[in-house]
Amino acid sequence: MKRSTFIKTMGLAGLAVGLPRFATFAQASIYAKTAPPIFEDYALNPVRQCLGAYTPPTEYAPEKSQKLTFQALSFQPKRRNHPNNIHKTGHLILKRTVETNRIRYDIVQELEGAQIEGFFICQPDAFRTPIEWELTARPSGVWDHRELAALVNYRGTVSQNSCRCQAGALDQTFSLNHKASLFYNLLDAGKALQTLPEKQQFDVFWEGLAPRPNQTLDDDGYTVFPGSNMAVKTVMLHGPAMMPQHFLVAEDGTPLGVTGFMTSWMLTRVEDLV
Amino acid sequence: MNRQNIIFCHVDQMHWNALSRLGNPHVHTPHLDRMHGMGTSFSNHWSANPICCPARACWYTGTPSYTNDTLGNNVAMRADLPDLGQWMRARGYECYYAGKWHVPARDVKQSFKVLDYGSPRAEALDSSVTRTALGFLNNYKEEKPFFLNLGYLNPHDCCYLDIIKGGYPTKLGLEKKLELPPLPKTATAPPRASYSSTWNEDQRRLYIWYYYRMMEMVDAEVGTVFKALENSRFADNTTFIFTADHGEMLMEHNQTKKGGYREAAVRVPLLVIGPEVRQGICDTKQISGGTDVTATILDLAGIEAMPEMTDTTSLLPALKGDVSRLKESVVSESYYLPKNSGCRTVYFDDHKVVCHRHEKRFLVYNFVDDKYELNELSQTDAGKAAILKAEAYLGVWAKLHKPCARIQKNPEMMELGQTV
Repeated sequence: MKRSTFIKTMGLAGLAVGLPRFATFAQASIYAKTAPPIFEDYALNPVRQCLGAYTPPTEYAPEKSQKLTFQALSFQPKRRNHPNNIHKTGHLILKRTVETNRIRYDIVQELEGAQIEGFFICQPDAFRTPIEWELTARPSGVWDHRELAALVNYRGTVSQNSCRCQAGALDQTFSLNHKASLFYNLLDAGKALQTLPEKQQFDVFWEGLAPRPNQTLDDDGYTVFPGSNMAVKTVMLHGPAMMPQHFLVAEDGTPLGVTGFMTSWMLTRVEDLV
Repeated sequence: MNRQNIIFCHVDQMHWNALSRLGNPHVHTPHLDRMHGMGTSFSNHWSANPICCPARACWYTGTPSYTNDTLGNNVAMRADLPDLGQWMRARGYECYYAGKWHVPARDVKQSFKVLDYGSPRAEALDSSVTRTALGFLNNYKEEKPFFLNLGYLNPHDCCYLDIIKGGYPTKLGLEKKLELPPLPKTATAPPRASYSSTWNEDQRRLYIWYYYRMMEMVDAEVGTVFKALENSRFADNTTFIFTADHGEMLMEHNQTKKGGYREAAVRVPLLVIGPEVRQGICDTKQISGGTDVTATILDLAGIEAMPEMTDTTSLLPALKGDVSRLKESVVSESYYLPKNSGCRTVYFDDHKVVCHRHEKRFLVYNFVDDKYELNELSQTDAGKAAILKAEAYLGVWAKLHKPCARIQKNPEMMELGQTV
């Protein structure tokens, strides 16, 4: 259903039975129990072609140790006789282990052949404020030279208002103006993103290497998944040196994924860790 | 290790003014700004042919498109021309490549040791190139000097905002939520031949907003590599060269993307930082083109020019402090395939003269005072004199270069700018 038709239908249905404008929509959706204040379409654009076949996992439980699998979806523009396409270009596995005073994530990311793996440890707060991380990266390409190009055990540590990043010859200490986060942390911060204070600012360590300071998290209303009428909260991360990233959060707090520009990540599987 | 290492770091589609150090308040490039204070930049530097494949074929062979045959994107390069990887490897360098290559009919792994093939999407490629470069600087143990090439893709991916029918993955609608940069003075209407022809003013401004974020992303990547180089054991013996294959129209003159002759597409940054290079210099005297980068790399390496590099000038004397202008003129080409037509632009003195053979038309601009090309001068006395001078330069230029087969078959392309 087109967005305009959908809104009109829902509005008329609400008026007909004397309910608030979006009450019928709320009942019809899988997750939404309250009236979404805003409808927007664009957050889903980078993955829209794939959403017809998308079934959101329902086993998400942030207090438990779990393995979250995200699929990388990348946009491939039309080439010669091939049409525009969105295809799978990798995956991201976050294994969340909940410990007494901290949360450990073991991570395996493969994107277009390039791999990052390692761990990061965070505080058990809503935003998973990072404490330390250690990652190893290997590029795609010729195996003969892969070890020459491998970045082994690059690490970061956060203390008080500063962060130190070490990656081979790179050894930098940054003062942190705001909260800090890894991009990966935000992928598991569903509930926190739902109750976001306006204009929340972050310094984001993209892939754990260098900061992208002064990022803003903005409430960007709700978006409706085509076909399912499922309304999800969208929170936009944007700022210098960042493509606008829309985090999609279901009403029960499940982080369904994030849409970027050409590359997006969608949650496809949640398993409990024994 | 006596001979110096060289890192040739190029980005894709960088508008010459997409730097905060130039006073552009809509983009924030702290890394490149800082790096400009550490080396010599050239404010009058132009792409040899402002499209991806031709510009890169020119860089890597040191020859113009007129000679190397790559007149447009995905047009095969002459097989018999050596490239920088092959040439320098045979003369004692270890040559490595990571990232975007895009030289048609030349397999990068035949010329370089490939560290990272990368991705056609900058979001995935560019951070991988950075990690690869950091890994390389940490792991390289050979005695031979290295020639490391880093092919970053951003801010190129703004193309995808405008070439995809249907508009995805563009998040149109965001323009209502963001503080957008203004349109340039010469943007009076939507581009005609693109998806953006349907965009309103705010959507066109959103395109520019996206572009600047992509520029900032690649600024962060380049800056991270450069910081690692500064801290590495190679810091005192490595020259870092930064440039772009071509520019981006950014809605100027109602266009997006690249190609043609406008300064937005042709003028590109060139920055060199190294042990022999003066620091904090912005050289406004020199004029140079893409193939002069090739000559400079070879000169820094102490290696002779490749065959058919007949019109290139090393900028090394300028990097060391020679303040006289090292060459009289620079030619940039642009071909309209499959119409077998195009234009050649000649830069000399303070003027650029654009020669369109197919329209029997000349355009003249002052490239020093009028970078946005608001005043066309061909009907002025100065403009008419410049046209005569340009024809003479182009006549000499054509004699210096061997035309490729594709040019020879098309007299109109052969004679561009040489007849009135």
